[in-house]
Amino acid sequence: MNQLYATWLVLVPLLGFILNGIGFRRISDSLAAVIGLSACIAAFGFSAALYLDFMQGGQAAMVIRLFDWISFQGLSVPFEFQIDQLTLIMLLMVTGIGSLIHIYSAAYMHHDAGYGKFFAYLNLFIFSMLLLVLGGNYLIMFIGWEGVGLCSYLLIGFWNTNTAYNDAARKAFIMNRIGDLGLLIGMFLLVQEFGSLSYAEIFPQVAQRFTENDPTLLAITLCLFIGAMGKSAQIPLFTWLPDAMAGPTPVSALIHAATMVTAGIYMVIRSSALYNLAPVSLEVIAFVGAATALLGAVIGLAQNDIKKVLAYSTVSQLGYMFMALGVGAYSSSLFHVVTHAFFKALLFLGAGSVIHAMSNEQDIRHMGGLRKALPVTFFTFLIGTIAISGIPPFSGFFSKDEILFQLFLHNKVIWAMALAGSLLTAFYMFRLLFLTFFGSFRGTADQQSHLHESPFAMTLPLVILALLATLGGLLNMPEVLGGNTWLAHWLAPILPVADHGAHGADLHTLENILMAVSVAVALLGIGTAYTMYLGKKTLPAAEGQPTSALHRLVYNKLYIDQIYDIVFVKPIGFISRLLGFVVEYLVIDLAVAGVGALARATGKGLRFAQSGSTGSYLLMMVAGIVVFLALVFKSNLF
Amino acid sequence: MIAIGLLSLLGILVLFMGMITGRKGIIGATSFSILLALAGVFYEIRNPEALEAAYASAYMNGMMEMGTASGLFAAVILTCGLIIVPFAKAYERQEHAQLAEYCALMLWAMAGAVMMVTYRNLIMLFVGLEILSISVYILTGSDKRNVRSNEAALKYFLMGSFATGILLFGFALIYGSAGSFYLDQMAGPDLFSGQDIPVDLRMAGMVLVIIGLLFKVSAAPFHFWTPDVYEGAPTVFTAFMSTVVKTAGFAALLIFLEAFSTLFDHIFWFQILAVSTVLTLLIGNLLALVQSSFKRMLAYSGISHAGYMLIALLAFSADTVNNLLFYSLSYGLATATAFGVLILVGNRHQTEGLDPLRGLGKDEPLLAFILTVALASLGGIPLTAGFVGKLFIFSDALSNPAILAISVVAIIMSTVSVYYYFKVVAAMYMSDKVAPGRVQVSLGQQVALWGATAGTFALGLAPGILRLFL
Amino acid sequence: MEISYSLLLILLPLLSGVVTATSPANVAKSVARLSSLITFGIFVLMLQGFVADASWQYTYETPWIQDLGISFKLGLDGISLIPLLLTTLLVPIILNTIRLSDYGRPSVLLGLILMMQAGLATVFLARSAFLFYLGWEAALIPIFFISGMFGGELRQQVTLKFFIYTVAGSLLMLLALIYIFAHTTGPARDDFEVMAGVARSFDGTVQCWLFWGLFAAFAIKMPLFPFHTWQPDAYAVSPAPGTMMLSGIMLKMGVYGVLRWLLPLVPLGVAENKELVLLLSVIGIVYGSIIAVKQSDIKRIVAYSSFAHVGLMSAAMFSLTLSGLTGTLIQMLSHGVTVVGLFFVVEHVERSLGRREVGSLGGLTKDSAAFSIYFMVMLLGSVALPLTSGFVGEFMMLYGLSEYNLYLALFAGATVIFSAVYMLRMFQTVLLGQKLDTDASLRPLNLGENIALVSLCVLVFWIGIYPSPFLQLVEPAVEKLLAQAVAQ
Repeated sequence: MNQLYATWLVLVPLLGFILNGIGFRRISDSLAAVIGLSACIAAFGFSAALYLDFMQGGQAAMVIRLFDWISFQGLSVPFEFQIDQLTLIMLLMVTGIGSLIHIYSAAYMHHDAGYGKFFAYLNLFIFSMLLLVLGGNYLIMFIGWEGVGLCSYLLIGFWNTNTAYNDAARKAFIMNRIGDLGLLIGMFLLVQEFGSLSYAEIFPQVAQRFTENDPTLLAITLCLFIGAMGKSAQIPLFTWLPDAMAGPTPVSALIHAATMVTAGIYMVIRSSALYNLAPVSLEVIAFVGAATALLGAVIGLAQNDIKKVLAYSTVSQLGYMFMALGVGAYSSSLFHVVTHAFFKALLFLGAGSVIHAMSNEQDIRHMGGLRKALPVTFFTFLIGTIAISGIPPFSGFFSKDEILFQLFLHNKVIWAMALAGSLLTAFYMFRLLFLTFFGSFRGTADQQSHLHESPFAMTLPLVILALLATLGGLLNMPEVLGGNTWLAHWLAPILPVADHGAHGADLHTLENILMAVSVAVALLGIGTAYTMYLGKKTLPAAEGQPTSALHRLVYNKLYIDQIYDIVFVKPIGFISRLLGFVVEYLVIDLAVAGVGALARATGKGLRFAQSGSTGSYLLMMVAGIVVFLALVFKSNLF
Repeated sequence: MIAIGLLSLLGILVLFMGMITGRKGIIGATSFSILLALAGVFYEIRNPEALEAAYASAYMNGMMEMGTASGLFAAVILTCGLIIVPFAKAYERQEHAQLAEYCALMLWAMAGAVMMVTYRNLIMLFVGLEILSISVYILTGSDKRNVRSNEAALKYFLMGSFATGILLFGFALIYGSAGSFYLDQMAGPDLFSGQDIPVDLRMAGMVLVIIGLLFKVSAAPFHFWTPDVYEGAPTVFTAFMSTVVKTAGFAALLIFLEAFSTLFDHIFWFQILAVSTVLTLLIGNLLALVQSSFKRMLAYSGISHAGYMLIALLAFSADTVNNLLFYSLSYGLATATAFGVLILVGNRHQTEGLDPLRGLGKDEPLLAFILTVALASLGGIPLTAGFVGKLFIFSDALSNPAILAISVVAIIMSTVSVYYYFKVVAAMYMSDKVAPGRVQVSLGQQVALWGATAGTFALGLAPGILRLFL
Repeated sequence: MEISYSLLLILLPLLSGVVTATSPANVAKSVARLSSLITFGIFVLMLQGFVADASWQYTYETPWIQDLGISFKLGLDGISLIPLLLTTLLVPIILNTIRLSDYGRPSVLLGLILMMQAGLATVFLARSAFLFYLGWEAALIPIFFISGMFGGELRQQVTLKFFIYTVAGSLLMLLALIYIFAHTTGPARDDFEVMAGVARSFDGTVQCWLFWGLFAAFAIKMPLFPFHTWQPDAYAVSPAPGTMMLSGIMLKMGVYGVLRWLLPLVPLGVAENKELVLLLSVIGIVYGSIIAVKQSDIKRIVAYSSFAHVGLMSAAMFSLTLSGLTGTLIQMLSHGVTVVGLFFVVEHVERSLGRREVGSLGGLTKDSAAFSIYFMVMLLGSVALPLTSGFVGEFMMLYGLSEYNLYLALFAGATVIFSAVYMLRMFQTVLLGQKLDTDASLRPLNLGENIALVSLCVLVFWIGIYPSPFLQLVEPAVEKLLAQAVAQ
């Protein structure tokens, strides 16, 4: 049964993609939406069916082998799916949120010329994402991995007449590819060690083959992490994600907030058996995560584009997830993946609703006071903001707090960084909220006259997501607060070593204290934002207005893009020109031509002997005769 | 010796015919004469002993011998002549041309050439060589109103005489040390003293004879006359020289070397031939590379091919005769064709650079195709006789470690040769027309060209067909 | 009388090529298409009867130059299968992309392509050395004329340079082959097995020399850094069908040559020199990739990309690993398909707009969505996205290389990143953005072109999704080859 479900689960979005892709411009918009929507909802249905089936089947992980993909002596990579607790969580999340966003898009993308194409791409994305999480080995996962990268490229550059958008799309794809190379190398090492890429074959062998911090294992895990860095926008491969906001807003919500960018976290969790024996790699992950979390938060402080703020917040939140991974708290990380998917999708869709209402204005300096015109949007956005800031009892509080708790247990430095990050998060999110929805309207009169709440198809997903963002914490409610940490228990069969040390009565006090600290910090952030933007009614500096050096630094994203440009992009371009026009033509080709020229020059030189004078010819003949005779009689001569 | 007799007699007949009928029919008659001679050659190859026994005097009592190899060399020479003669057609329309004389001279020259490939006595070699040479001197200068033709003839005559002198001197030394002109006594004791010594004398004589013959085949460093003479001579006779004379020279050289093969270790002459080979290859190819005139390029190409034939001689194995025969034939067919096309195309335009050939691929696709095949064969491209010829020579040479380095030079020079041959092909197919006018091709010329082209392909695809003639 | 399929694969294109070249354009087109399809059909029949083991099948032999013991031997095995499949498959596709009205003398062009096919088939089927060499040159001559007669600016110089460069290599190869041949004996002594037996008995020094002789031809043909400078010019100047034949099929002669005539013949020479070759190959990958990044002529972008990809094939072959060699064979197929597609795209743009400079194009996706899709699929195959043809080969090749040396694989893996850089730049510059000049638009694709492109797309996905049949067909032969190449 589950083979059938799994196959259809994957095929239905693919079918949707093919129908919409081939029928683009031939089938009507409404039909396109129906195809796209029903494909995604059907996928959700199949996921749910798989879940039920799994529960009935005694919750045993199973591998579904479809056919041999790449198979030759020494390596066999079948096309296989693995269904277990982790997969199911991801499946439900991807298809569930995917469905909501499809519904939202049906209204949001209305009137766009590429309506059918948009749904085709969305379905293709769902297809790839499903392969990514369903794959039973690294290579199938890699199909999805690169597939979502492609979809991301296609969707960021969806409005392809805009060169800046196209550049952003290209940047995203290339940065992902840099990570993918790491992943590929990691896979090569895995094959060399294990002769297989299947999870089911690799993981049981890890403990027998490797001791802790075995260099090969470190290499493998770090290479895999490089892949995760690219996909999940960690330092140094994060700059593509803010640019990716060039895509339509539902895309930002689905791909660049809720699902694709968490693929790296999924992959590390999936590989936990490897990482458990590689503490050094985990350490690296923790620090990269912490650095990214802080960096994202800092840059988020001074951005004025509503989507950019959210994008940097995503970068920052992904950092949190990696921090959790870095201390081995896999289930906490996954918990945050899920809650983040809820509230970040919510925030992006809310932002989309705002942009929709503001006639495509994205600069919060031109907004303000929108809460009256957009009540539903405001209310749901508020919930999202509170959730991300970590205020109980919203979902973000529980997941973030669990992470902070785990960090505290393992590494106080990282904990401190994370705490600082959450202060900043609370601040910039509320700054965003206040500037957008409070105060007075700062846009043009024209924009003001068009302000309107979004249609039902857009607000419905907002409301559902707001509910989820509110209640999502129940998934893994900690024991101190009377929960049963359902998610951790659910994942226990595949993450047996996770969350050790989090139990015991003496820890509960500590947990409570830490919770209080983090809530206090969040409130401090909110308070500061309140005083600055509602109390003092400060407005962010307008373009060209002189500001402090520090502000300029943050506003310009620490000049990281410019640094990359100077350090990587420009030199490569220069080297390319140098090689292409100088080395190619003046060195290699000239050397080749030189051989010909040498032959020619020799020929021309020899031509002088051919003077045309009989006398000199005879002379040379005589010389020849003498030489020949000398050659023959040289023994007599000497 | 049917061929020699026929060629001499028919030559006289052609001369008389010219007095009677003027220029008409001369070419046909000449071609027919060559065909007759060719038939004679094959008849002789099939019944050698019987003829020799019956007509000993016709063979000058063993001073000449028509074996299979000699006969085939003679056949190659006659075939080349047969292809070239129709291209003398242009003289039919020229006031001052003495077509009958030219044709008769060509026939006689071929008679001399046949002597050169059938000699068993040095005297006959000398006689054959002189008959050939003197005829060719005259033909070279036949364009009496052209200064360059006169100059070429004089130059050729002067230098040829010098070479003949060297050759004769060599004969004298050999005779002095061997007491005989007969080849089968070259390796034996001195007939005067009955002793082997002085061997040095015979060695010196041999070197001088080799030099004399290297001059005839235009091998370096005795090639200097070649480009000037080839360029100055009327193109038909250039073609004649570069095929007939060269083949005869190589056959003579081979026969000469064979005669001494039991006396001397071949290391002795290997050295000088090796030097000559490398020089010939380098000079021929590198100078051909820098020529802008097609005719002069072909002259140097003729020199370069002498280099490949010399490699065959260097290897000096049981296969050398066959290799040299095959190479001469493939070279002769291709060179005669190339000159033939040049004559036809050169007629429509008075220059002989590459210009008359430009755009030929569009104007005259068939002629362009024929020339392409000939050039490909000269360049040693597979599917053509030239490739198989080189294959024969190299596969013989490469089993001999001493020739390895020379073979590498030869291969590299082959690359150079492909460049200058295909530069012509490129000019024909890849540039626009420069020369005006159409090309007139007579029936005889067409037969000659297509025959040669077919032969080039046939030998390239199935070299075994040569057996059919034995 | 039994008809040899192998012989038909050579004779049919050859004869129809001659007929085509000499008939009027419309007849020529039908004849050419029909004959190429029949040839493909014959090959499919052969594939059906092919047994996946390491033996020679569909053999045909006859004495040829008996005086020398040279024979005419044909046969098909797992290694020749792939390039032959590529040849018989791509020629009909390439013929379909030709619009008669684009060329001065289309019959000649079509005829030359068929004759070239005959030469290529000879190369891939030859089981005796001189037949192989004959095919090698026979494939070269038609492309010399295709490029020289139908090419663009500077065609004469560029074609001559390309021709001489290749001939120089092949003559060195000929020298090496003759050297080996001169040491063999027997009635059919240029037979592959006989030659291999003798060559392998030479000592290391001789094998080294032979290695370089043979390698010269293959390195130039592929081409490998730094023997490649003929290639971008030749690709840029040749007419599209010529470029497609060159890059799609002819380049595989070099790869095939290494597999068939280099690795098994001189294993000691290979062992001695492989580090150097690997280094050159990897340098070539990085070098070509980087150059492609800033090329302004989109045809040259594809040319340099092809150059980089071939570097990877070469590196994988000389890693002497099973996956490297198998991957190379799969990549041969994939590269052939995608590069033909890409050159078609470039050609179509140039024919439509009369230019192909980066910066002078843009926004063409408006003109034809189908065209964009074709372009995208070829691009994906070329950048080796999983489930497209490029990925399977590239994954196996890089893996094979990593088995030999991880760092080399890392550098070679740069192609993963750079291919995305230059290909997406090309895609963007041609199709996306604002349309620069609104008068000119892509000319509509005709039926033949659509068929050709759809077939290419299908192949890209087929090889990418279900490569198993190909892998199974080649595996035994590759194992045998590997055993020969690393023995001693």
